[in-house]
Amino acid sequence: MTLTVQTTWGHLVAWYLFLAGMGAGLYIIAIGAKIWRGSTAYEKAGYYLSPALVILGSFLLLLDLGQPLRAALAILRPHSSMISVGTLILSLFIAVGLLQGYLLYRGRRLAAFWDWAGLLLAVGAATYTGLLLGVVKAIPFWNNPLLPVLFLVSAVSSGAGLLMLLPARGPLAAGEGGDILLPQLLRLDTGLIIVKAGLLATLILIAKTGGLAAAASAAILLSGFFALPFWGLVVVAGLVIPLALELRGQAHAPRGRLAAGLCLLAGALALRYSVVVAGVWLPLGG
Amino acid sequence: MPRYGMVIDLKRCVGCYACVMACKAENVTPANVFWNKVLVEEKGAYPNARLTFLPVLCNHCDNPPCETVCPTGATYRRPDGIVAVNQDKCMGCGYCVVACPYQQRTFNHKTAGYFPARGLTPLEEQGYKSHTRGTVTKCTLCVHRISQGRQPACVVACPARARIFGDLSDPGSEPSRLLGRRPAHRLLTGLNTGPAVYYIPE
Repeated sequence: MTLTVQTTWGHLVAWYLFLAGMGAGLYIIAIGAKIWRGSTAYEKAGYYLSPALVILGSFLLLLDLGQPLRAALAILRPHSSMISVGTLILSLFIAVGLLQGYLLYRGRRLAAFWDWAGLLLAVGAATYTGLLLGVVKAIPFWNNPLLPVLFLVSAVSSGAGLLMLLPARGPLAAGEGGDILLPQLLRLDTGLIIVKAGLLATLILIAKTGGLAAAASAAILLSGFFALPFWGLVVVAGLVIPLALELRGQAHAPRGRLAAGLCLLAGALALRYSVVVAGVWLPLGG
Repeated sequence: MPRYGMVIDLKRCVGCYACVMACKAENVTPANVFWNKVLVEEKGAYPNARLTFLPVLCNHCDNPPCETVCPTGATYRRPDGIVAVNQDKCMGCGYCVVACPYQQRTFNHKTAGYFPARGLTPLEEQGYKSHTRGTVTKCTLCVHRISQGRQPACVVACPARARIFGDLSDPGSEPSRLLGRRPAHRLLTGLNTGPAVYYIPE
């Protein structure tokens, strides 16, 4: 039984999954705060930064193509592949975000309907990054319905991490009511980290007890060539440190918040890398 | 309409790699790209250890996962069952490469041939014209030979006659008769891909 690790998708895809997820997650929190908390403190970050991050991620995906000029062909067939569906979701999200950002810059705002539309597209974009890998039956570790859920939760958590890193001044700074929102943001993120940890543990456990290929994927992360980034960045930096900082109240201070934010981003990026590089195909032969 | 496919008799395969090289020569695939491979495995333990050989190629599935994930429609299934790639439409996203459970798709980086310092041979100069850089490439079942009524290059080259090619929908064809006589299996049938390559076990 020969087991092969896929090497077709690497750095650029991992960065794309991270950036598009983070952009979408940031939008979900920033605009969610507007819808459910009536606060516009994070709306600038949401309207300006989210589309920028998703554009950057999509650009990396274009760079990864062998024939980037043919990418338009994927948009022309939105009914076909998971990639075409995702291209459509991302394009719509970028369009809505850019429009909202431009109008905010001009001092005008769109009707609440557009916030809801953007929110739905953001949830779609973050989930899609997991679905892209999740529908691949040939790679059992990816082929798990929990993966899109984990990527969605991790995306929102990395969005929270980015909000913790926002400068105190400048065009992206938290607006009025930001100091009221911060404790709520930290509470939300504590919950997200716990859910994230549970999902990740379940995903690894399912892989460990699955077939040969899935077990090999788990072994790559737990003790194989990617064990150091997995334990160091995904588990310690992405889960343990931010959770400790938030539970002990240190994340309320500027330095603790900076540390927690940076750790959350490093953890989210390393998680995307972990999933991509640990893709082991079903064994052939008998 | 024929349904082209292949039966590979593992009792006859001697692991000589003639099919691998015949495919290389016929299709002039770029450096390090193989449309036809032989997977070698060691079975048993000393002193009863032996090598087993499993020749693999594109399975030209009934439900090709590569076609399902292709965002541009470059990968398509012909009425005769051959799964083909339109190299003018492929954008090189690599989704089909990860999605093919048989690992039979290769991203064509098309380097400078096997010996970059020495340039390309006349054969490579000519043959590389049919391979577009930055697209995904795979076995075509030698459709250019089939259309002339000839057999795929790997089948013709096999000295042990381990590879039997033909029309699976015709009960009188050589592969159909063979499948009627002897038990055969296909790879990863649990995925419901409907592969057209059958293996007669050793």
